[in-house]
Amino acid sequence: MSKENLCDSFQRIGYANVTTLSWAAQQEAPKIEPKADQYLKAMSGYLADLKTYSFQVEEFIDEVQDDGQKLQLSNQRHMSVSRPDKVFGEDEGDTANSLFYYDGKTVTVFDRAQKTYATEKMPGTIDAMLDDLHDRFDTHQTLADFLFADPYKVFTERVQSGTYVGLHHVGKVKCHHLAFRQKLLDWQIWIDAGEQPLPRKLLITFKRQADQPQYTALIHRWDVNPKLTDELFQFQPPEGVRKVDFLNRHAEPKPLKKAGDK
Amino acid sequence: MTGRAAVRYGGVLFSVMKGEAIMRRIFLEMGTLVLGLATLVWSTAPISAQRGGRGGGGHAGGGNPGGGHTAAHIGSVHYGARAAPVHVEPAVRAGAVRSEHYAGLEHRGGYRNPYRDDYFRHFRPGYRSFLIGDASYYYYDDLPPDCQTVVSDGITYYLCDGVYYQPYLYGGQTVYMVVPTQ
Repeated sequence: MSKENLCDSFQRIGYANVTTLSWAAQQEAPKIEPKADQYLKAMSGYLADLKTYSFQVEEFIDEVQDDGQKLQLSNQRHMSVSRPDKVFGEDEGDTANSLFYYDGKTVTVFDRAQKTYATEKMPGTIDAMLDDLHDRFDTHQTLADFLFADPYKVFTERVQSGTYVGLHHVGKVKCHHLAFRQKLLDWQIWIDAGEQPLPRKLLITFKRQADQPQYTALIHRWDVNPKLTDELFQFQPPEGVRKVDFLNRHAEPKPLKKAGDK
Repeated sequence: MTGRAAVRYGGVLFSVMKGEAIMRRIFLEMGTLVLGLATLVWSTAPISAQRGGRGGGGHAGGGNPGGGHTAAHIGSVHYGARAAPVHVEPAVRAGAVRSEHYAGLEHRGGYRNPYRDDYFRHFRPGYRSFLIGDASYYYYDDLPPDCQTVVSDGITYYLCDGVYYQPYLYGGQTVYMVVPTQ
């Protein structure tokens, strides 16, 4: 390689690297339109200030088949939250039939279809519990974004850009329609344009997956000051259910010593 | 990521400046060469993770419950971008925007197979993988018919066609993990 060619190569790598670095820098500074930012902040602040709240959800999930055909499944979901350390969740539908209890000390998940439950000790805040659920059990609480103490931080931590789409409807409710882009996801949120800036709809597009499946949640029946008793967050096992463990990323099962041992 | 980098290199070909002090630039570029190589190594790691997670034994999935090859249940921005450690892309079933936060963060190369070969051959189709430490375990959403219950060291197993299963809770559903034998 001649000196000029060698220099050329260095220059190419150098410029490519500068371009890559500037691209990376762009990723770190999200471009969110002020109007979109304003409404996302308003919604997040409103949720963060609630002491107790509950909502119901109708969710739709794309399942992409091996031949590329997209099928839609749906579930009903209910969530009750008492900040900072209690969550009750209930889901039922095509892909779910379970109850979720977090009382500030333990999480219990009850699979109603199989009559099976598991209980684990957890950290003392909703935020820490959600991350622990992921880290140890590879489990994600659906719509967890609305449970964190600082929803705005959670929603924007990976955002590359955000735009204000317009005033659009969710059912009969007029909402601020916002659209955000991330590296792996695009997502849209519809925030009530009335006095209470509540989220009415969330749509996530998994754009890096084949055929770009979507998750859609219609959120209704908000109660922003429900009376929630401590009993709601504590699981009382019914008769005839069996206790098992959560699948744990860090706990290998003990191998059976000899096939057929009883 | 690699493809994107290649495109950028292509674009640079047209923007190389001519007639500058060559040797001075060599010193300048030496530094960026090191940085550039480091960037390339970093940026390809998630691709390797994806192959590692999906390639082990030719089985799909790396720890997300749900059918199809694109589970769509994440339901959260946060967790949609985090998903399982071997997933570069979030799974749809998590339903959380925040899931991207976890995606592709961890990378491990090969995974240990905890099962004996003669035992592994009895596994029926349809299993999914779940990583425990550096081992890739397999589980099913249900049991086959005609199982018997076996208790060993106080743990109840299901024995079906020579394969032992232990029930676990995973993502709100009961799954049946194949227990290795010695």
